[in-house]
Amino acid sequence: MAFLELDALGKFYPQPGGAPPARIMERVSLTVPEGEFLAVLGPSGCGKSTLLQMVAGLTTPSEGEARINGRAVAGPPPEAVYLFQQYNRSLLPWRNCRDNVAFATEHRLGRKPARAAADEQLAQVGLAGFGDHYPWQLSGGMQQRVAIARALAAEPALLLMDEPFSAVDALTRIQLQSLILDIWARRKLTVMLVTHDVEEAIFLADRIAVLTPRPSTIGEVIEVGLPRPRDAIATREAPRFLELRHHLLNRLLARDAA
Amino acid sequence: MKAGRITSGFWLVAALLALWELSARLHWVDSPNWPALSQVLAALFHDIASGELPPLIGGTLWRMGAGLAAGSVAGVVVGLAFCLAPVTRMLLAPAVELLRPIPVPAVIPPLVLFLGLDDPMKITVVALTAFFPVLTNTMQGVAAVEAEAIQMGRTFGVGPLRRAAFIVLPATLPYALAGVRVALGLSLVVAVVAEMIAGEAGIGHYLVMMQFAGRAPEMYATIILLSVLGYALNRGFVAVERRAIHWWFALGRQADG
Amino acid sequence: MTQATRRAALLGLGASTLMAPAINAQALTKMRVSVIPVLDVAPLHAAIAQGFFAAEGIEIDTSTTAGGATGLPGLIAGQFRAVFSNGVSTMLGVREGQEFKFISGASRATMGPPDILAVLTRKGSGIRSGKDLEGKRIASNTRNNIVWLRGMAWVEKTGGDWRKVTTVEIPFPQMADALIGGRVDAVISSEPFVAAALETGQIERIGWPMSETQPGCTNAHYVGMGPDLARNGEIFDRWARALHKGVDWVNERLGQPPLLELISNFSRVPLERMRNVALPAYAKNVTPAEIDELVGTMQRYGLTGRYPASASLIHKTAQ
Ligand SMILES: Nc1ncnc2c1ncn2[C@@H]1O[C@H](COP(=O)(O)OP(=O)(O)OP(=O)(O)O)[C@@H](O)[C@H]1O
Ligand SMILES: [Mg+2]
Repeated sequence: MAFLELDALGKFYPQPGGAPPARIMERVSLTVPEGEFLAVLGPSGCGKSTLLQMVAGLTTPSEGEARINGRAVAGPPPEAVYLFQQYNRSLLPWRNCRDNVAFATEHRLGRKPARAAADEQLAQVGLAGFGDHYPWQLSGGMQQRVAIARALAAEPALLLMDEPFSAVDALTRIQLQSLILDIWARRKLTVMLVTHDVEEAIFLADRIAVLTPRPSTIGEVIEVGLPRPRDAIATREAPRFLELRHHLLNRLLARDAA
Repeated sequence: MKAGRITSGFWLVAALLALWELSARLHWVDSPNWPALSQVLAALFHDIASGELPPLIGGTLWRMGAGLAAGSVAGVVVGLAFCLAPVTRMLLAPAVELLRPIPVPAVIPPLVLFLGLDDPMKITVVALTAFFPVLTNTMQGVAAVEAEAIQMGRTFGVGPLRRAAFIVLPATLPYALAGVRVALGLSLVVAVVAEMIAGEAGIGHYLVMMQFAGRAPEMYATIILLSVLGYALNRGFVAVERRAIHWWFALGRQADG
Repeated sequence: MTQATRRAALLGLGASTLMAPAINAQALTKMRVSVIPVLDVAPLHAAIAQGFFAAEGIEIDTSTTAGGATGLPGLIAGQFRAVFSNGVSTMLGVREGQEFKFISGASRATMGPPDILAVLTRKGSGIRSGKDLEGKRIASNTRNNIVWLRGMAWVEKTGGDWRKVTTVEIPFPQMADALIGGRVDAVISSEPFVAAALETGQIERIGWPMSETQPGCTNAHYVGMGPDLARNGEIFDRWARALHKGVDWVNERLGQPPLLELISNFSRVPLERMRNVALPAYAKNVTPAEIDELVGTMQRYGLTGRYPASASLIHKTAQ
């Protein structure tokens, strides 16, 4: 039994003005073993967020089901945490960073232990001493670190990341990518990362599932095969990296042109 | 620049007050009902020093405060319920919408029938007045809560009541408080109006008595008193608001409108 | 559970501690009376101040309402036991089936000037009579009340057609300004506003709408509810006894400083002005004849309808 199974997931969205519901996704099937780092790559608007939300139990699939440890997802599963594309909307501006991180666990642990744990999580993402700052006092990259710390505080087995680095600058993105890889390796998480950034997918993932445009389905699954640990500079210059990059860009752009 | 604006505003008020004094002293306006500002202030200080006004002010503020608190809490609770539990909206929204346009003086007679002439009636009138702006703003605020923030709560396994209390309510607070600020001004007026209509208590009753006694200085003293009270209450409220939702102002947002 | 018991215990405690003073004050019946801040209610305040009510075991709680707007409705709603009301409002309620009963007289017109109502105009306006007011505007505090009724009677008595005079509603306190400002041509005012208006020097009095049309006519009364009177007649006997001692007290001091001070105290009218104010005739009883005259006048000025026999409306305390 695989850790995470996507079984023929499909999704319709209702259309405005009484038009028949629009199909945006069909027959997405995939098996993810425990501990894998999976990237889902696709053009903007193809339904990446929707797919991830179905796994997170935040959206119900119209067809098929997602299973975690053999149990069908119906509502947010305790194993998974969803890391939002827009950190600035999911952080609570009336709470300082410590209390934002504590939010993930305080309903289970109580306020005090949750806060203590929060300080630890902040230190792990390099934000030691920022507990009393409010999110809006921090840079975008730092805010995303807070969101990551909060996700990690819940100690998920499965981390679902929706383009977590799309809103930060290029250098920060590279730093955050290394941070995530580091945490993934240390905590032995299973990660499903959604992105439209080809290099990000190659650099981070064990496997890459490529989505077709709407109605999207999985067009191809690629083994990355780059050695770990990966290096922010050297890995990006490896022949296999460049080869994959060429292949994926070709594919995405060709499809966009078609 | 800000200081400059306050100063010029101050001078306008000062000029108007001076105009008032002169128009009465020099008989530009010749009426027993147009006393000079100095007479009005003398009356005001006299009735404060004599101990007559302070308990009346206290009584009015108490009725206003109690009504405002009750109406605001009800407005926030009903607003949250309407948005988060649509059943309540289906059941109650028509009744609320039918009550909303009724002017306060029109609801006083039926309220007198059920609640009498004393504090329960007056506090209810104030609460009803405060309820609607707070309700409207709260609902607006709930609608503006980021969907991501609520989903975030769900992904961490936070239950619906806790999400309402720790995500929706704080996010809505700036809107609700903007509603309370509107309600604050109305509450003072309505508390005084209710006191003018019935019973023997508060600034409103004093105002009516002075009107009927033909005591113009005391009448205007009441008006000055109400204007100062209203101003002070608003300033105080804004100060509290700035502390309570400092994050909102830090983000440079605006809830009114 | 424990909380409920504790509360019950507290209640019991509260009740037992309240018992002690309650025994002393046992006889005190609380009565809420609706009044208007006008001279006519001087006897009630005199009776309170002189302890006449206390002597009868009654504690009076007055509720002063402007223009009496909540008086009769409050009586119907059971908020008041007794209401000071002008005769026209009372009779209009009676006409609509309300069980109002006169429980005491309050005020009548004097037999000749000065009396408490006056028709005022701007000095130099040239208006001297009802005839002059035809096609013009006259202010009354309310339409269809005693002030308006007596005002219309005066218009007719002085040669005018009351239907050709437009009535504007203006509260007493604003009448003088409306007159000086030219927004109305005449006002039917009441004391102490008459005295205040005359103090301006720009206003003159051209008529006495009550004493000129119907000397000694009825004006205002205290009203109770029939069922309450039937059930608690004894309380109202005591109430009326106390009130009527107040009437005597007032009538013995007409125009004298103690009365003027009393009125100035409850009405807040400045004492200096009180010296120039005309007073009504303070009454204890209500006669069928005065009510019949009132109803006749109401019918004449458009307040038509079927009114019950006046004698049936007068409770024994007002006979
Ligand atoms: N609630 C909704 N109702 C109707 N249509 C929706 C809804 N949510 C998403 N869609 C549509 O479904 C499609 C997929 O949306 P989704 O957000 O999953 O795309 P995405 O791949 O994550 O895009 P991006 O890269 O821009 O984040 C889009 O075309 C969008 O218009
Ligand atoms: Mg997306």
